[in-house]
Parts: sequence; structure tokens; C-alpha cells
Amino acid sequence: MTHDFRDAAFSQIHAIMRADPNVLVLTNDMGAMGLDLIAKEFPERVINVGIAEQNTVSVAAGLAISGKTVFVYGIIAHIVFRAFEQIRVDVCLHNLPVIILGVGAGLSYGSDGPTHHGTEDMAAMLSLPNMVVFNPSDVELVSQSVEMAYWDREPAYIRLDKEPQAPLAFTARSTGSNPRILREGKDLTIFTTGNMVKVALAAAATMENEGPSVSVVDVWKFSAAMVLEVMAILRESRTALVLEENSAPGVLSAIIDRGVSLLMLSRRAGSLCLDEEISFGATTRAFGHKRSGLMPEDIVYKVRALTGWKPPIEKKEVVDLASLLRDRLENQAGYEATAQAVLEYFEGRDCAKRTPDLESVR
Amino acid sequence: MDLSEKAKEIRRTILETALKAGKGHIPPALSWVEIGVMLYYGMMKIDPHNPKLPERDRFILSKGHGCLTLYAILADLGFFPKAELDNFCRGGAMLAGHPDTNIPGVEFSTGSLGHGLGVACGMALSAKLDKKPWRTFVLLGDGECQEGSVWEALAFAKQQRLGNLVIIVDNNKLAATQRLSGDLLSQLIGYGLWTRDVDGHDLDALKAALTVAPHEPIVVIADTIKGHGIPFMENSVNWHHQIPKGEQIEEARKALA
Repeated sequence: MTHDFRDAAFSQIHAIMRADPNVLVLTNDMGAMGLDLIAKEFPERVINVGIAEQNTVSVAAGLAISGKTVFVYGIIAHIVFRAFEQIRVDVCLHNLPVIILGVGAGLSYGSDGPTHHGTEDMAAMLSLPNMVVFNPSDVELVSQSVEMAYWDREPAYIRLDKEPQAPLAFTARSTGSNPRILREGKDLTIFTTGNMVKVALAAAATMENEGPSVSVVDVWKFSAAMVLEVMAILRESRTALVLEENSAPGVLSAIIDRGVSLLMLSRRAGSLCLDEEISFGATTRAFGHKRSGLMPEDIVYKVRALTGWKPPIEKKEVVDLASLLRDRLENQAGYEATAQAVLEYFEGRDCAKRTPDLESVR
Repeated sequence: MDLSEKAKEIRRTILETALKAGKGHIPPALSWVEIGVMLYYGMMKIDPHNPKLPERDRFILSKGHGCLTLYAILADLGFFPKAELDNFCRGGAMLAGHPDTNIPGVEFSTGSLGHGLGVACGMALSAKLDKKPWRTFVLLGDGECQEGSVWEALAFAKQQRLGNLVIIVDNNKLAATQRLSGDLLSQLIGYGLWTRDVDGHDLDALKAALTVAPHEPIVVIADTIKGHGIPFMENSVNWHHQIPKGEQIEEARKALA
């Protein structure tokens, strides 16, 4: 099975087009291996409209209102923003089955510079009426997103990452649901989406032995139903952290903030997004994540800060310390010397504030 | 049917509808009255009792602000009750200052310029792929042709050889606040499009011009006068969405009598 998002999307579209003669693909002069295969079989139904994003979307709307289902394929940064008014008026206002297939989610095109970053498109698209946004985190969800968008027959936007990603979950239950819970823990829930899901999973794995214990929730279809599902999970969570590769203040972060406020929860919630500063130059994903504090170690730090987690004191040492104190006190050794030994012990462990209550020991 | 009488009647309805509401774009509506009358009463296959008739011809008013003409015609044909015209632009009314698809007979919601032609291309392409006989007509303003998206769509119509598409330009040489150079014809010919130039207030000339050309989209440049029929509005930069006041009201009514 391919792990490339574009191939996964086009192989699904290919299957749909074999079954339904009323499906077309339009592109603003963008190529893809999978698209070439479709064009070879259905030359009349794959149309290169040319480097003309506004017209591509308007034509798609004209086709859709005449009974067609249209996939529009282009780079996120161009198809969404150049044609935003056409998407708003021609597609969303008329509630037409036009499915925008955008490649280059987040910092996928990082080294191509700021004109190519897809970091504000989710916020923009989610503000539109009738628009459902899919932000799949692996190829399995790409196929499902294409299939769902096709059957929904409503405006949809599917974001494709340039980085390949093998399926992150295999059970039917976990892949079909939205949001899907990829990992369960009791102390904190990470709500995340798209490319950041695997980063969240990596961070959760490093905390596995020491703690705290973390849930990872992958939100991949942004619709009204999703908001209710997310709120249900939020209500059961002690603490929440949102992780997304969108410009601050973020999209999922806003949904969680609204949930906390609507449910009148006193939970603590944090959020990690890309910083708002424009990333000039070659902002590769690794570079951008480091700058914005989105690396797994940043997440671990944030999770521990939110949960008030402290490193556990190893049991053996505690026992030893207790017996040491008992010995010293029983032998009536100097009190000052005992206190000094205890303080030194904790300072060495970087936990000086936890000075034991010597009076109670005595 | 005497179409020139029908055109006069439509002009009167436009004026009265706008006067009642105290709102609306009268001059941009008056410039395409003959075009609208010829399309709806003389050419297009439509059914007011079945607005979604699959085989109907499609019309998109890309210059959506000229909607008073469209409303007057659709109401006259019986797509919706004439009483709706009395509510034009009132809170919650069906008829707003730009047309939308909640109105029976309106094919596409417009109001933002530069969208209608691309959508019309999609409709025409759909009919062509399905080998359906219906035609698509779209009306643009000449001011609207300043939008880059119009030229994207013109190139596409030519590339796809949309012979079932008729593009009409209401060439009244005025935008909202400025006069236009009026060299649209040479620009379109230079773009390689099959173009016809016609008097946009001459019904017979329009009838001859508004026909499809096999295998090629056709652009009909209809030379019109903004505010046609009401002398003090005609060809005036000051009249785009003003409403007549005081003595102007009777003067306008008299001109259209």
C-alpha cells in the first residue's frame, strides 16, 4: 500500500470515477502520478484549466450545479487563497459538491518559502458556511476522507500532506471514528490533527515509563458533529493540550477553548501552534517546529507543566534516607548535621523545595 | 407578442419597484432591458411553472446589481407572484439587491463581479459532456470585464470550444464611478474570440446576434446606454444607484409612459 497522500487520494478517486460517470477532476496545472493514470483512462473528465485558480473553482461550481461532482486539485497556498471568494460564493453559498483537494498542508512545502506554506487555510476554510474540512493524518484517513466527501455531496476541503505517512491505527473501530482515540491515558488529553498526530504519539511514547499518562486524540474531520464528540472527550479529560501545525491562535485550539467555556469546565488547557511570525527563508518542517516549540521534547515539557508532574523519587533511596534519619536520631547524632545531609540529598535531586519536616521525623 | 411594448412595461416595473423600496440600481438595469426581453420572451427554452426543467436554457446575470430587470421579467412570466416586487429589499424579503438562488428562475447567486462567466463555462461544459441540447447565456457588464477572472474564463471557454455558450456584454461604457475606454471589442478580437457587435437596444439585431455558433463560444458586445429610457439618467456618471427624488419621479415616469 502506498504511503503517499496524493497517490492514496487519486487511487480512491479513480475507483469512484470508474463507478460514477458524473465525477470530474479539475486542476490548475498541477500534476500527480495518480492523476496521470486517471487522465489516461478518462481524458474527458480530467481538465487542466490552466494557471487560473479563480476560474477553476467557478467552472467546478458550474459543473456541480449541473449535476457533476468535482474534485479540484491544487497547491493549498494558491487554490485556497487566490480563489477564496469563488469558494465562498460559488461553492459554499450554493452548497455544491465541489471537493477541494489541496496539497501542501502546514509546512509541507517548508523549504519553498512563505508563499507556499499552508498555515492559515484551515482557519479560513472553517469559517465558511457548509464547508467540511478533512485533515487526515495518514493514508488510510486520506482514502476515507475522499470517500466520505464524495458521498456527502457537499462542499469539502481535503488537506494533503507532502510527507508520506503509513497508517497510524489498524482496527476498524479506531480508523472509522472521528475523532479517533489513538492512545488512552488518565492525566492529560492531547487533541491534535494532521501531521502533528505522529509528533504527539512520539511525545506520549517518551512519557510512557515515567509519566504522566497521556491520551492522543486525532481530529481529522472538522464538522459540527466533530465539535460535539470533542466536547464529550474534553469533559472526561483532566487536562487538555492542543497541538497543531497552524498559525497561532490556531483552529483546534479555538474549538477546545470554546468547549472549555461552553461546558464551563475548570480544566486547564494549553495549546501549541506555529508562531504568528512569517517564516521567511527555507522553513523546513524540522526548523519551523523547533522555532515554534513543536518538537516532541517541547510537548513533553508542556504536558508535565500542565499536569504539575514531578519526577518520582526512587523507592529504594527513600527507604535508605528514612533509615539513615532514624539511625542518626536514635544515636542522638547532631541535629544540624542530619538536616544538612537531608538538604544536600534533595538539592542533588533538584527538588530542594521538598525539605522534609524534620520535626515530624523526630 | 410585441416585444418593444414588453420592454417598455419592464422599464416601468423597474422604476416603480425601486421607487417603492427607495433602493436599487436603476440605470444598470435599464441598459439590458431589450437583451433580457429578447432572451426570456423570444429565445430561451424556459418553463415558469417548472423552473428546474432539466432541458431548460440557462441564464446567469453576472452583473448581479442589474437584477431589477431580471426580477421584473421573472415576475411577469409567473416564476413568482408580482407582489414580491413590492417587498424588494425589505427585511426578510425574497428579492434582495443582488439575485440569489432562493428566487425561482434564478440559476446562480451573483453580486460579486467576475464569477458568472466561469460558472457559465462549467454549466456549458456539463451540457457538452452529457451531449444535452440546452444552451447557456451569461450577461456581463463592460465594467465587470476589468476583473481578471473574466479573462481566465474567456480563455477557458475558447480552450474547451464551448459552442453552446453565448457571452453577452452589456457595453454601456460606464462603471460605478468612471467612464470606460470602450475598446473592449478590439481586446476580445485580439484574444481570438468570435465576437459580434450589436445595438443592445435593437430587438431585431439582438435576435440575430444571440445565437450559438457551432464549436465556438460567441461574445456579443451589446452597445447600450446606461439608464436608457430616462433622459436625465442616460450616460451619466452620477447615476448608478441613486433613486429619483422630488420632481425627478414624475419626469422619469413620464419618460417611460
